[in-house]
Amino acid sequence: MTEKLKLGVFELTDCGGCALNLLFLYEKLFDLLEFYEIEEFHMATSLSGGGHYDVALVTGTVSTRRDLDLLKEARNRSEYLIALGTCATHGSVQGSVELPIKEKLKAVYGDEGNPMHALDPKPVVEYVAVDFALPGCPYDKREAFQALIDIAKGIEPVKKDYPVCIECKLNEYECVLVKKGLPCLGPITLGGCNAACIRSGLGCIGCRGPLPGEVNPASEYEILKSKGYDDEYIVRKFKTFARWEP
Amino acid sequence: MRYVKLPSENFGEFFNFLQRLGPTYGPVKEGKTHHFREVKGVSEMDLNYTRTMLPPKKFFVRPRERLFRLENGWWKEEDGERPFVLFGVHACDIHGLKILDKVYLSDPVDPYYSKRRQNAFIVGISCMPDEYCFCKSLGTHFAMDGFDLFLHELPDGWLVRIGSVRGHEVAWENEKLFEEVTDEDLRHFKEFEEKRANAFQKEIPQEGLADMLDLAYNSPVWKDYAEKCLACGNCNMVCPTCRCYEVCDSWVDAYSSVRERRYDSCFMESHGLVAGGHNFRPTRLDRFRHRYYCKSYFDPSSGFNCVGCGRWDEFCPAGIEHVKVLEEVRGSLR
Amino acid sequence: MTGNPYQSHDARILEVKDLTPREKLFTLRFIDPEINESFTFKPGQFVIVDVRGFGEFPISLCSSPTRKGYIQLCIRKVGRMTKFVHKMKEGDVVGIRGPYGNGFPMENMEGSNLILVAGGLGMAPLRSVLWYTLDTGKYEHVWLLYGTKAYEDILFRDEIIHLLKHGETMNCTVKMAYEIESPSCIYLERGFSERVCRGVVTDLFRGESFDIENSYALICGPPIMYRFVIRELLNRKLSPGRIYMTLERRMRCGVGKCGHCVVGTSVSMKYICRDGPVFTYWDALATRGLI
Repeated sequence: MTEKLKLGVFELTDCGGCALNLLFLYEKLFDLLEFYEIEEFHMATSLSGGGHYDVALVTGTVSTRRDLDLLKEARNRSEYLIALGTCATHGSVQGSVELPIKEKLKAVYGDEGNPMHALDPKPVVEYVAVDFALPGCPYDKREAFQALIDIAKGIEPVKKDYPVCIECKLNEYECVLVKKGLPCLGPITLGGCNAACIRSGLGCIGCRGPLPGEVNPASEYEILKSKGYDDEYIVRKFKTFARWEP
Repeated sequence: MRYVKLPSENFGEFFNFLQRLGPTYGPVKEGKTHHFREVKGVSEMDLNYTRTMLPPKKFFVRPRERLFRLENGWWKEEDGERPFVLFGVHACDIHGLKILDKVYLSDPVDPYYSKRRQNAFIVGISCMPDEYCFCKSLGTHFAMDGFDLFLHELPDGWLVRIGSVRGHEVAWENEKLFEEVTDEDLRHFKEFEEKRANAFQKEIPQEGLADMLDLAYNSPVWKDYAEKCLACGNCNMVCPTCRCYEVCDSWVDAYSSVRERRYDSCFMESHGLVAGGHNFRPTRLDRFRHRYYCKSYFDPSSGFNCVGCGRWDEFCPAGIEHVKVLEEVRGSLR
Repeated sequence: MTGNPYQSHDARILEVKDLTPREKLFTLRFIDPEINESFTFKPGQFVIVDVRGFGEFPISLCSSPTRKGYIQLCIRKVGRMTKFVHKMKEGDVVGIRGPYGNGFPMENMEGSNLILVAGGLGMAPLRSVLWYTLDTGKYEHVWLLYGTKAYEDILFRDEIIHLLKHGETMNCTVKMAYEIESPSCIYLERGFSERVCRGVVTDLFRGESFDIENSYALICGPPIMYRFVIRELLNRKLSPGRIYMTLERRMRCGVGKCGHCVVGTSVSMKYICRDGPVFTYWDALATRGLI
């Protein structure tokens, strides 16, 4: 075995779930450790590399100056950077609030003071070029595993290119949009989650962002309207995770 | 063909016998949808179903399946196929399998499909159409072959058509369960079929359809519907004759890998995309039309690539109706 | 081949040669000597390269079946798989399955003139034809009209220049058009002013007279090229049945199952991998979307 690749996991502002999700790979983590050395991952090691990373995983949105500095650091020191999770790829819920930061501060704290140097929350992709974007709230850990092994073996990871409906049908889940009239964004949302929400009888909330390419939100909008959902509800649903498209 | 009668009171025992042939799959209702699931007893099934969500093709080409696993740098074929019983298959789906046969059993034979086809004992069952069915207009409402046994509902049991040597063997071995068919049974059979024939609400007039569609290539109707279409691929997944698949290698651990295939959809942008970025079906309109053309392709030896099962109409989130689109396209040419 | 048609055979990379900055020529030999001996194909057929654990991709054979014991593949670094394969070295092993597709009807064309029209990477399958014709000597005269972007993009440059110089002695006329001017191209043009020019491949027809009654055209190039070349050939009264073209689509399985390469409409559907990739212009007229 040649020298192992150096891996860094960097967390910006997020719930922590995306970083934790890596640890949920459990025994598969050891497969990754065949190829990688974890140099920076505050949930898993007290090491703090500060050097060069072959692969950097970045989770969360850029919401403060500290986030932005950390992101730039990660980008400058890494060969291959993956935006991991919807916060990093699309801005997620944090990025969906539309007011400028000053107004938000005022609304919440009553004044515009900004001791934390908060910024308008934006996804990683808005600030730096990324080599791979893996959305999901959280992302599918098996997809991250495949991507990391692929990179270790010297091949580009595979991007998903189909909507949630495909995996939903492959798993034979009952269509909640057609059969229950639930607001399901599956037809226009990038798949790869194995239709986890529909498995639980819920509609897709669109957490992986819109399917890239010629997606048809207009028709989805009409369908939801015909099922009795109002404009505001639908628009909000569309924007919850993906106000910022990569 | 040999015809026998299975009286209602022997149905359970007959079913129990079938279970000895292998795991038995039948239509089961879950929520508002039917699925073919493994069943242990008659009571678990809902034989009055109209259509399952995924057609029985899922037993022959699985939604996801492992083709190979990597061992010492070599692909080893996945094995472990066993005989099984597919109970309660409708005529349209039997025709669907025959269309798949033409693809998967033509040279070179797909070994996975062919093994499962040989392992399957298929029991067909009669049905009543709902508002989506249009099999009659395509001639796929009655199966002349492609099954081992076919059960036709009678007031007091089932008229059984025997369609294969294995079907004969099963009937032979269980002779005590079957009776001769009487004139009265025949009358009931005929009545049922007449009632059924009159129950269809939808049809595709076949005459000249293939040519009409080809001539209507530039019809604005395609465009109108392509704007409505979500390109989500649901119609492909549930179609008994859709057979596109995608192959993907994936890592099971650091050093071993498997090759899997899964159903693919011609609505995906990647479907016609070649390395280098050229897409032979670049727009949703191209892909929408392609799917209709594929389903309406008329093969002189086997007819259309559509069996009129109505799954598309039932499961399309955008409510696009197959027959209506074809009628409008044809109409736009008139 | 019996058994599982999706199973590939081990082949060792004997040589990797840079053809252009984007294309490499891989020479391979099947490890099993029996397969190596029995493997044969027709010019225009393709194989599927299987890098086990990573994926597969189709690629046309660019060597000739007249040269036994090895096969050659010209691979452009363009997608996920081909980028990976470009990193492979001599001695590495890949899987190969095939050959697939119909190939050019070489035997039917014996004794005739062949007009090979190649654009860009389309040179690869036509190189197989070219070698085949030169090796068998069963064809009256062979023209190769080759359109390329720039000097650096000329595939099999040494061979092409050799044929520019000496082709006539083998009843072979090579003509070349380039789009981007460079000193090397101008040098070539000076040396072979009759046969090298700046322009596109259709410009190479100018001033050339073919015995059209006794000719076949074999075309391979980017999708945009076909219409222009075919128009040129039809103007010269070449029968549509004598115009052969080899087409590219997304071929996954290679054996007419997976559906990605299907083209056509309700009256005519073709699997490029099984019914093609070589089609006549009649086929193109009968099947919408073929070209």
